[in-house]
This record gives sequence, structure tokens and C-alpha cells, in this order.
Amino acid sequence: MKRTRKRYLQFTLHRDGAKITEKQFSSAIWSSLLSLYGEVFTADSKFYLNSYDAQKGTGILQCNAAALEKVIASAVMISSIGTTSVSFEPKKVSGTIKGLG
Amino acid sequence: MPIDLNVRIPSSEGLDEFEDMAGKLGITGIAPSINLDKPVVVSGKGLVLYSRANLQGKRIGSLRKELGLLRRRAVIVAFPLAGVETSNWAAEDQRVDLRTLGEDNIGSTLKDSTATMAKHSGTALEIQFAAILQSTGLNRSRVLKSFREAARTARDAGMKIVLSSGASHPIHMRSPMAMTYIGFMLGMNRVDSREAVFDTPQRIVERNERKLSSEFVGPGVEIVKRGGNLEKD
Repeated sequence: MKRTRKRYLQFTLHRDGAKITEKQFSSAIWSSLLSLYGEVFTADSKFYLNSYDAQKGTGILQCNAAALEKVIASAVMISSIGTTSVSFEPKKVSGTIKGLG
Repeated sequence: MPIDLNVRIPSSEGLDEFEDMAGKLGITGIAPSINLDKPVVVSGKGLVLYSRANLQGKRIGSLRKELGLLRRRAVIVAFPLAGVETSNWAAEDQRVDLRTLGEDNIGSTLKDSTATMAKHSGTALEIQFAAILQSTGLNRSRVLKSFREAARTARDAGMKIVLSSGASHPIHMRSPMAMTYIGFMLGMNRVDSREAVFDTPQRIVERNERKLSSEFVGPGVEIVKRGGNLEKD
């Protein structure tokens, strides 16, 4: 099988309320992706949350290069997780984790 | 210099929180819905506040009067997309900066002819994305349909597009980079989306600041130097 090109995104999740756990955040992105673009696209996106600091709200996610724009759009569209209002801020995109500095 | 041209601050007490959030997100200017002392105010935290007026009139006569009163006081004058007659009037009038599409008028359509007129008068289509954030499921689908159709009509006619938050709470604001991705979702390409977030709002503000300055006389006529009469007796 041909290998797909990956993209890594450094982000900050601003919040107004309680801390968001890694699992909650990951599920919220999956749900948003599924709702906006459907099951097949969500499966092909190969979205994965590499690292996430729940205290600072910073982290790195990875996905298929072709799906990057839609994965980010899905994350930006999340307005709340549980009872906490959030604002997703994409920071930097790279083809390697090292490239994010 | 990214500017959010529509922030619905409920009262002046809430301004502080919006300033903090704008600072965190890298937004350098906002146009709040509250009354400001001057058309342009720089806050203590370095954020530039531009006065914004939303035209409320229902008929052309009352709108003309309202516009005459507000144009010299506000940096941004906006009018929602509404009926054909008022839409065409607003699209032709160079004093109107933005035709707004947001949560208050979802379902309003932008006609090709209106968009073409707006292109010639320099009026831009403003899309407030708060409506997308606050809806889910089928409702969000309806909002997206309305916004994507309007964006496509504007783009095809060459009318400029502005993306603004329409946020009534600081956490509803989005960073400029996040806003460009909302632009992609509305069918814009990378160039158009960046223009809708970074360039067009900046250009509208600069144009109107020039118009509001005491050196401005009329389109193409400005006072470049003041001084007394040199031919003294």
C-alpha cells in the first residue's frame, strides 16, 4: 500500500471553564469531522492527537496531508466541549514534528 | 494587521475581556457594537477600536437620513442583506461599507445584480460566522448553504468578502488563521480567504480613516498643506 503524506499541526485550545482532557478533545474533533464531512472522509483523514497539555491547552495533532484543511476547519468549528466553551487556534503546520520547532 | 469588523460586546464593562482575548489571538483591531467617544480609539492594552454603525431603517428615505447622520461618526457602516429595493440602494451607495449576512438574516440571498453593483461601489459582503458556531446538525447545514451561496455569488461578481466573528462572548472569537480555515469551508480558496481576513478589512478601515480625517474634502481631493496667504499686503 502506498504511504500517505502526513501533516503535523501545532495548536492552542483556548477555554472558558474547566480543563478539557485529551480524550474529550480528541472525541470532539472526531465528532465535528464526522458531522461536517461524513464517515468516509473522517476514516480517510487519519486524524490522531499526538500530544496535548490539558493545563496549557497546547498540543500537536497529525492527519493525512490531503485532509489537513478540513481537519483544521472541523476543529475551528468546535464551540464547546461538555460545558466548557472553547476556541481552537491553529499555530503552525509542518511535514515533520521536528519542523514545528 | 487582522481586524475583526464585528464584535457584539453587550456593554462597555465587557470590553476588557474582549481586549484580552483579541490580544491572545493576535487580533490588532476590532469594531465593537458599543458607542465610542471617537471614531478610532486605542485602548490601554493597545487594541484599536473602530466605531461601527449598523443601519436599522426599513425604507430608502429613512436609510438615507440615517446614513447621512452616521457616516461622519463611524469608521464602519454596515447594512444587512434584506429586500431587493434596499439591497440595491445600499449596494450602489459608496458610503455603505458592508452588506451583512449573519444570524439575524440567515436565508437572505445576495443577487448577482446586487453583487455586481456592490463591486463597482466598493461595498463588501460581510459574513458573520458566529451563526455557524452556534448551530448544529440540519440548522448548521442551512446556515452553511446560505453562507456558501452568498460567498459564491460575491466571488463570481468580483465583490469583496469580509469574514467577521459576530461574537457576543470573547471565547466565540477566532484567531485570524482559524478564520481563514472557515473561509475554506465557505468555498473560498487560499488567496480569497486570506484576503477576506487580512486585506479587505484593513483596506476598508484605512479608506474610511482617510475620509474621516480633517484633510479629506471629497473623493480624490485632499488638503495636502495648510498655511496662510503668502501674498501679504
